[in-house]
Amino acid sequence: MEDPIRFYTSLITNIATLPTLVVMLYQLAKKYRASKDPETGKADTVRLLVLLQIAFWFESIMYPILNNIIFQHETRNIFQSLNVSSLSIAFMITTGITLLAYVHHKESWMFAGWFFYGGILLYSIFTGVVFTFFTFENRFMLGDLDYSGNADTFFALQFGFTLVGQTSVVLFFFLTGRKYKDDKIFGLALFFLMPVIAGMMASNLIVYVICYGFVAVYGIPYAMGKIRFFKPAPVKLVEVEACT
Amino acid sequence: MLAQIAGMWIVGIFAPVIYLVLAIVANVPISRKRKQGIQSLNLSFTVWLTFTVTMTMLRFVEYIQVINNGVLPGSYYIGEALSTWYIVPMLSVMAQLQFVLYIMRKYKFYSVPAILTFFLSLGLFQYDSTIAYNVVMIPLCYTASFLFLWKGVKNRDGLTFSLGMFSLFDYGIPYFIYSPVKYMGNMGGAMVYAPFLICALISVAFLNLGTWGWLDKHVFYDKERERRIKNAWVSRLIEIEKKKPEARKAAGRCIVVECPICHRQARKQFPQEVVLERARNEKGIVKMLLNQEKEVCEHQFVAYVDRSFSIRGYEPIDMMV
Repeated sequence: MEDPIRFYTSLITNIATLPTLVVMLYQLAKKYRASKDPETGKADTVRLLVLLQIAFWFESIMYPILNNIIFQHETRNIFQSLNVSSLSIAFMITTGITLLAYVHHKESWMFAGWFFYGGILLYSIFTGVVFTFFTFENRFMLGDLDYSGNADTFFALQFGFTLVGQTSVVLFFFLTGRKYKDDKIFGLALFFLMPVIAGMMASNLIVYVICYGFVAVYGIPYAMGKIRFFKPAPVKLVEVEACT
Repeated sequence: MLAQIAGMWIVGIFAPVIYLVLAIVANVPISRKRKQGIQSLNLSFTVWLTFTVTMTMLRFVEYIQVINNGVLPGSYYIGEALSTWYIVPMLSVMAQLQFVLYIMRKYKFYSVPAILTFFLSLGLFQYDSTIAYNVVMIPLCYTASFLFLWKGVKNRDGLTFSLGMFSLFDYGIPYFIYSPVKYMGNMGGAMVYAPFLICALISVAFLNLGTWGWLDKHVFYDKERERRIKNAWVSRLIEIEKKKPEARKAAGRCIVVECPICHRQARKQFPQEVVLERARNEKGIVKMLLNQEKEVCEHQFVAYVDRSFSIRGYEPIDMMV
């Protein structure tokens, strides 16, 4: 353990967000089930995609918590190895792209996002990147080429995807939420903005604690639909003359 | 000495010039159709052809340089193995794939060529290995060509068939000749690149046959139908039309319809005789209200279908009262 203060602060902050995330998942799942149309049997896809994003986020938090508690050392970052946490974050971003694609009726964006994500996975597998799952480590190799040391360079790409991708998705969530006056999407942008800021300023523990503290406080009222950013448009009554 | 200079002139000047002229000539009928506004596909064809021809000309420059000097200058390389030697054919093949996807309306996969190019370039930039490049590029090159050929033969369309031959001869076949000579036979010297130049000329000649309609007139024509038309009066023609099997008529034609709002696609079957009856003359167009059952998406729209069952346009419906 290189820095005990940092280790325990990040561990406690991550654990503090867990109850919020569990409540959020429960509330979102409940709302998703309630959104099912009794006639058509179709449920609200936006709610499902929001639920999936929070689920992936939960998974990406759980892995470092368990890893830190069991092995008493910090999880290796994405520059060193591909782990469940980074995969979940990538899944979360791609689900975010899917949500945007669904709202804007641009199905090709969704496919582009998933193909790019698939490309990252294949590239990482064939270029000998270490995949870590707790104590299990595996490295795929092709031919006699020496790939050692190159994996670090690759993770610049994944870092670019996770950080740049996440920032862009958050920005688009803000824009889309404002355009359609949708509290769910606008609120989700605010929720995911915090991890982006925390990730950018990872070296500053205070910023990290504030951002995750905000997530822990904000998550429950957001999931329960208590937070409203836009006033609902007043219903206009129009008198229709009977056709003669 | 004289023979060498003449050879250099033929390889270095005549082949690229002839190739360029033939490519421009092949584009003339398509440009004419584009000006008449017959189909939006013509513009994409011109863009694709211009891009492919530019890429082939760049390859010519490299081949000619190798043939004349024996080696490719090292300054072309970026990173470990990324160079114009790989980028140019890769862009050419990816443009082919993009065009095939466009023609087949596989809009879900439109991003695939760009993503593949990105990862292959990154791989070449990082590692001095062309394994992934070859594994992806060779099947893609042949797949695009064979898809064009298959579509051409299936629809009896000379232009599509010529696109297949163009793609095949532009890169596929010369690579097939070059690789065994270069790697298995380990021989040939710089002249192993000559097939690329010769086959490129053959490819553009095939393209001309397709765009100017020669293949349609002499290869893909229906002999039986022509014989019947020549020997029949108008009344007889109608009789022939009636004699067609009823089952074939009832089955109707399958068309891919696309929602003008959300661009979702679906296959719809239309009764052939109803469309032919409504659109009486050659230029007749039938207006159809589609998606009433909302089986494609949530929107409803009108499609304009001509006698050849091609969709000329769509119009969204704002409201149903």
